[in-house]
Amino acid sequence: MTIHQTTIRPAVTPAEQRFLDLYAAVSGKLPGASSAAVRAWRDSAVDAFTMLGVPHRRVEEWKYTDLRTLMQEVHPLGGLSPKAADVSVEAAIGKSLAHLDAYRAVFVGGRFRPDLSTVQNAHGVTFEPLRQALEDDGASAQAIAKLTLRHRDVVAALSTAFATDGAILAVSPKARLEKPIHLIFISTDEKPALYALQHAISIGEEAEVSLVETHGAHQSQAISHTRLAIGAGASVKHVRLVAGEASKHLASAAVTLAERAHYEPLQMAVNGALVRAEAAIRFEGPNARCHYTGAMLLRGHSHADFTLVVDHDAPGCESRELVKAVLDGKSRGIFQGKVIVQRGAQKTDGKQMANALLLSDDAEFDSKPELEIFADDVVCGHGSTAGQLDQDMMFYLLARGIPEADARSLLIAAFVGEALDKIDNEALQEALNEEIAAWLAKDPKHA
Amino acid sequence: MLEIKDLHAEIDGKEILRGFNLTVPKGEVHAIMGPNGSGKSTLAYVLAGKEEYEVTRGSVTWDGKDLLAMSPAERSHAGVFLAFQYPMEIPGVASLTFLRAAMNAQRKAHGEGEISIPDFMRRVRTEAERLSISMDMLKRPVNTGYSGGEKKRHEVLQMALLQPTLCVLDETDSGLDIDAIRIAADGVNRLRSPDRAMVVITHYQRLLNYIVPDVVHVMAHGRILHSGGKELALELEETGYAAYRTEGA
Repeated sequence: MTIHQTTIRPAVTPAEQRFLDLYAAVSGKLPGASSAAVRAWRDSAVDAFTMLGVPHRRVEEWKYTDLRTLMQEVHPLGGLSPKAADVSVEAAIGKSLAHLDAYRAVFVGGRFRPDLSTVQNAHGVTFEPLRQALEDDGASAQAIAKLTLRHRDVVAALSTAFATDGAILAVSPKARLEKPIHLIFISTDEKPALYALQHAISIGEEAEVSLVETHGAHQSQAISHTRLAIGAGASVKHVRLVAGEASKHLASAAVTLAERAHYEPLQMAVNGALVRAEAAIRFEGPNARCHYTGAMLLRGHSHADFTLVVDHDAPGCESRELVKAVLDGKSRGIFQGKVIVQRGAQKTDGKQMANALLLSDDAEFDSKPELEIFADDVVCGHGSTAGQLDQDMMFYLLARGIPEADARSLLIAAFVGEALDKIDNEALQEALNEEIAAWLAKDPKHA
Repeated sequence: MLEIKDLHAEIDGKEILRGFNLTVPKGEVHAIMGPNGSGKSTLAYVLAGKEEYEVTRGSVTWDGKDLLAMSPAERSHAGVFLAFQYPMEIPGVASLTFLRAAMNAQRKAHGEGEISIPDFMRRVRTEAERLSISMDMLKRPVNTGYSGGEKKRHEVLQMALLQPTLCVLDETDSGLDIDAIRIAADGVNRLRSPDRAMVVITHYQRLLNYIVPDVVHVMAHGRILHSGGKELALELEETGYAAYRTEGA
């Protein structure tokens, strides 16, 4: 007997209804609304969302990030109006990041801004804004409309339903980009809005690319989904920085690695009212490697959730995860790291480690490792530590005359700095160190 | 002048120092010798201000200033320097970063501006060379992956750079071979001066062949039981601490 899915669809709660109402209100104004294929693509995402609902704590993947309580309202969708706001990238993300030598793709309030961007000029890269692709209703719109949703990915579903723009980026095979591609997301925040973006990035075989994403502080809600396909033998470094105390940021990424591909993501959160950065990384070809690093610096009521699913579906691949969390005030940091080793994925080498530094009694770190292993010749391990500042190290610094606040800062920066060690772009590393220093300088324990 | 009077200190409710008295005038080097558990390291930590040690009675003044009323950093600014028996490893903090932070903290406390990077590098290079410390080592995290000898020489390097006026050396010879002891001791001897007092804590006499003390004190059961000239150290080497183990127990 087959039960049609609609018969077990759960009752729609007010949390879901707010998104459904928003979709009903804006669907006719979204890019590609006149294309039947694009409309069907969005409608099916709305169906998927209705099935999944707004995640809450009884949904295992969202155990520690209950959106029903953390996202009690849905702002009006931003990015519909073509009016280009006057913005300063430097004011929004700081001088060092704004001036990072890179091919820039700047998105303001849910829309690509060609006037602020340079990615169009990058050699070996083709770039098209999602909005343009959807509105042209040409081959790329047809291709996008065929993209299927990742299973149980509610962020991807919402992003698909509401996306007003995004980056469609392709790096040619063997391309060696001498500068990073810097995706910058800022908001004008005239009124709090919901921003939805979707990106599709493909990296050609044997290419070498550094991707940087900077998500500036805002009062709004940002939802984004990224598909990243890394070709055979290609190497991708990918830094994602999410900053801002009030920011609400829901992101998911579906990453695939072909054989011998290397992927080195660094996910960083500096405060944030609600940061959820989920990445599903799938090894599709043998001998590929993924080294994931997470760094969070949270205080006040900040909440950051890094969720990772690493799916070893090919033999001989290596995955490493290292998360460094610095938690102060009443903040909450979460790392969920799931490693799946499929039946054929022999010689898999997977290790994960989460280290939390708790600076206050009220801060909380939740670490949930999960291993699902279906192959027999594998090496997998995980570990987690949580502790306070080492008092003997503190005393050593104090005994040399270093004032307490500076000694704390030195030790905290050293703890989280391990996450930045592997960045080989000095200017980028310096810019991220400045983010850490700025966070430390606001330490309420500083005299 | 360092003046310690009737000092009592405890850790976790256990009394370690029991009426300790010591006076060290500037320009002098005093050795404190004693068996394990006599309270030598506790004395060092109490002078530097380690929080876990609670002073229950007595006084410590340096240059007439009440050390016990100061935080560890303030004591350092007042000229106190403890060369640790077990220098802490601090992963992630390069030694050069640490040394500069320490030097600038001292300068700031004395109303001076930050040291320029070229001046800092010049000073570090000069002192490091004298102690056979490579600049590569100083680019590594503080004490992390250093050998025992490197750690102790790194302590002496800090002393040379910070120019303290009261140096407390806690078992600076422990774990070192003769060559390493000589390098460290030469570093300490270069710092001997009429306006500097030194307290050299050691279990063995051999360090005192290189850092020749003006006065030797024998410590047991949390106080000084006997004082004498440098020849006292040689006597102890002969007779051991047995005589002091029973006394006052």
